[in-house]
Amino acid sequence: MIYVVDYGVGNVASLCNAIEEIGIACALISSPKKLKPNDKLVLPGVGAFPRAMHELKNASLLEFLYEEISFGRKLLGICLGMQILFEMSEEGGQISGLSLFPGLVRRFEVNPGARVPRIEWARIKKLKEHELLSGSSERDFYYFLHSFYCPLNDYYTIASSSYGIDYSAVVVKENLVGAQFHPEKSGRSGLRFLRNFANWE
Amino acid sequence: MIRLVGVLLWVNGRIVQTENFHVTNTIHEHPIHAVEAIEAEDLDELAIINITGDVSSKEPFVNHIRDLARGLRIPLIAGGQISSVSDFKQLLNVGADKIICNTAVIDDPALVETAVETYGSATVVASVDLSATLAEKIGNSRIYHNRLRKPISLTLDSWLHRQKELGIGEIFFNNVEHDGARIGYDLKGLQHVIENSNSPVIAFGGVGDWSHLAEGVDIGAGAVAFGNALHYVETAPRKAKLFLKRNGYAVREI
Repeated sequence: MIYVVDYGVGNVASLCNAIEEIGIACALISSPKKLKPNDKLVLPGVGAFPRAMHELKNASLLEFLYEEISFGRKLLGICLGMQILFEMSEEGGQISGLSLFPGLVRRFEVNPGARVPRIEWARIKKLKEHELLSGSSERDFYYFLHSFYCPLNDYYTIASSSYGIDYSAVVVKENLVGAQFHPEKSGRSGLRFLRNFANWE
Repeated sequence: MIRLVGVLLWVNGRIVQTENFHVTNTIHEHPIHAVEAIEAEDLDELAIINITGDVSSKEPFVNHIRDLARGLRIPLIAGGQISSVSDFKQLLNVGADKIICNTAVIDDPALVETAVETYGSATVVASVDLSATLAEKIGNSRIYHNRLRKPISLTLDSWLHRQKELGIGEIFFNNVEHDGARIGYDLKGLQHVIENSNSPVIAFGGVGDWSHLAEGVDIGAGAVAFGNALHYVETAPRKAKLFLKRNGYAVREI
């Protein structure tokens, strides 16, 4: 079962629809719950970093997430859900995230031809081999919709994207993965990514 | 990379075509038929706008969005009749990714500001309906209000200022005279908007030929949208992308 964390800041419907489309059982979780050994978690996120952290705290989900993660629960953070896994974000001041990945989430600088938010389909550059990227090719496109980006990291970034600056498109650390694009909105490429996550041992 | 956006206009559950903002005919009795007929997954985004003009249409519209979002794996933009935070919430909850508001930007900026704060600027799209006639200076052109149901209230430049102030992430540009006219986008109006804003702009209104899409790209639109033209030929999105690709434009290939 894949549990999608419903903390009021995500497009949970689309995520569940996509997960079900690949044939995996999906349910929402909005407060701490006892999970089975093979269950996985998905942390969506749409909106703003400060509010997301606030909602997680309010729902008593922070402790729960830290515990699950420390016990090896596989978790996928999507878009803002990926950003809150990092140390801190510039959004709304310097707000602390879950600090599971190092670094500061920053706002894109506006450049001619690169307006903010970034709203476009784009390819990603595979930097390391990983089962989460299995079956993907250089020609796949993913949907990006964001104003802030996560920095590159030599250890954790397995795929990057470019928008005036190179940044992390996918990060992995042990049982944690973050994806800046929306796999539930990225057509077949996205479904493949979700399937890889579902199959990830 | 340019986005190709398909726009469906929804009236009481049916998908319609319009000309100068008047409904001319029904194309499909249910949006699901439209999505299948146009092979929507070839698009980069699908927009569906409730132009019914009646609050009783809200609930049926939300239900249809829920139905559509179930099988759609590309971004979905929903709009029309947005007058409360609950309208944003309901549509986002059933699977919309972005919400377009038009009248609210003019009548209820505080609502839009709240939506931006709550859901993020990337979730809110501000739609502007321009009339290209009259104005000596494009910036003085009049914005149509509530799909021509109310008198004109703002100039384009005042509207652009407001869009910026409210922190709305994206602009959806339309022109009343170009709607259904197959003469291409209002390039002057579009250029003015693009040059006087920092947000990505979706060009809309008037596409009759695929070359019109290219014109939109050339002028700096972040996305090129078409509505009526979706229904002129089979697999229109695919054909549009083929045209763009053959003419040297980078597009997302399926």
